[in-house]
Amino acid sequence: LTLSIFADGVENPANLARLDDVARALGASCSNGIDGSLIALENTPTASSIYGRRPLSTRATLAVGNERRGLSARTLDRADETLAIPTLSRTVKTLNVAAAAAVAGWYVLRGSAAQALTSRAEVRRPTVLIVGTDHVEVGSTLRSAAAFGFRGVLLEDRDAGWFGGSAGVRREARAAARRHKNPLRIHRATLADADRFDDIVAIVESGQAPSIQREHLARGRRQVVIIGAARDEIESLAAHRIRVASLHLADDVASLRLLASIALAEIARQVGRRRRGPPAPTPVRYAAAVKLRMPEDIVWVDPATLLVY
Amino acid sequence: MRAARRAVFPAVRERRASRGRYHPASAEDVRSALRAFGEAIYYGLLSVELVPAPIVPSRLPLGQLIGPGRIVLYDQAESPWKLGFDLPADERARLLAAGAVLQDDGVIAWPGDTLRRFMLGHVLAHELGHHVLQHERRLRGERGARTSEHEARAEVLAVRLRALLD
Repeated sequence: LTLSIFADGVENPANLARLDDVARALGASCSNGIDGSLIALENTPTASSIYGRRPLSTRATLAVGNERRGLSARTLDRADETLAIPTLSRTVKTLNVAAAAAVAGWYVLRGSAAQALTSRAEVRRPTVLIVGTDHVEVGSTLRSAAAFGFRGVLLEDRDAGWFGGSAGVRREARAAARRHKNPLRIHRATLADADRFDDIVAIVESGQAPSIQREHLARGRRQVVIIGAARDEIESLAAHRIRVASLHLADDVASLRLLASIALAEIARQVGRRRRGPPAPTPVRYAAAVKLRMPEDIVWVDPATLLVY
Repeated sequence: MRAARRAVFPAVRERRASRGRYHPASAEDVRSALRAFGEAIYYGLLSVELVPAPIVPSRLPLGQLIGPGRIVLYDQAESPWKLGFDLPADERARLLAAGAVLQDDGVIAWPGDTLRRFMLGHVLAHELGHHVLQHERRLRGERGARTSEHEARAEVLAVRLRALLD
């Protein structure tokens, strides 16, 4: 193993369980201490991007922090390197801790090219179709989608309860999605709707398929990226023109939020962020007008004088 | 061999004037004037728009060049204008030269089509003068000359263009 994951103050037992899933999926381990160099995952002003790194070659520990407070100051001080996941939303700027660990761990282990810079990111962004069966997993995935700059997604809700679940289920799902500040538009869809698109790419967690990084995922809205569907379903759907890309995770991980967050991060990397060009020149203005002059016989009166009068 | 470039005739658009006001020179009048001025004058000009006038303190807005290549002409009140302000001597001379009748009580009357001719021969021609100076130097965010010189050279060209309208 070259990577271990250190949960620094993570409180929610479900998140700790998902962090175990992340470690298994990445072929890493969860640890209570620091082994090798310490990589802190935190949105600090000096943090560098997870994109544009070489693959990990030495032993390292990836530290993720508390759900609300983030990493402790002590861990941050000890860190050899601080990484941040670049988000594109103004309102949803963080991911679920397990999703963040999955994204960061995946990119730290494999490395990647830098995030693209483009003047027309929205034109390059593909449509995403998410297939979900668990309400919290769906909610966390929708949170990741918003954080990575998506404005809308298609959702096949297979008893996940996002659209028609009980009040308690819907409440949990929306809390996981940070729905109070998540402006994402969620459209009800089915896998069959993918057939309407010109270009179909399905993301699977493992198995024989090209890596997701070798697949072009920035072909615009006529391209659909399917996340969360089983492999046999994908193959029965428009088999002649569907392409499959794999994350090459361990076989036994079935957490939608981990799979989807890595896939969405890769789409965001390929779609890119807006290039900051030089500011547009201020237009030169020459105005023609008739200049007016206040008449000299006007008497200015202070309203207070009138009141006295 | 390099192809000769031709000037594209600018788009002339007219937006409805504010209530109680009108555009003294219509879009068609502007097109005719541009044709009379010639290609060398409107070369590089993208549009001429007739738009409602903004409210500007101590000014009666007539038109504006918004570089590069956009001229706006503002709608005006019906004649006579009751301004409630005095006019500086140079403004009085300018309006008199354009055919306005200035009365002692601050009322300015525009007999006949003098206001239409003023908008074309003074305002549009002056803004075209600014445009030509800016465009011949291919300037996008900078001024072709200091403002007083720019105004003077624009007015020199405007005098020449007015002669073409007569």
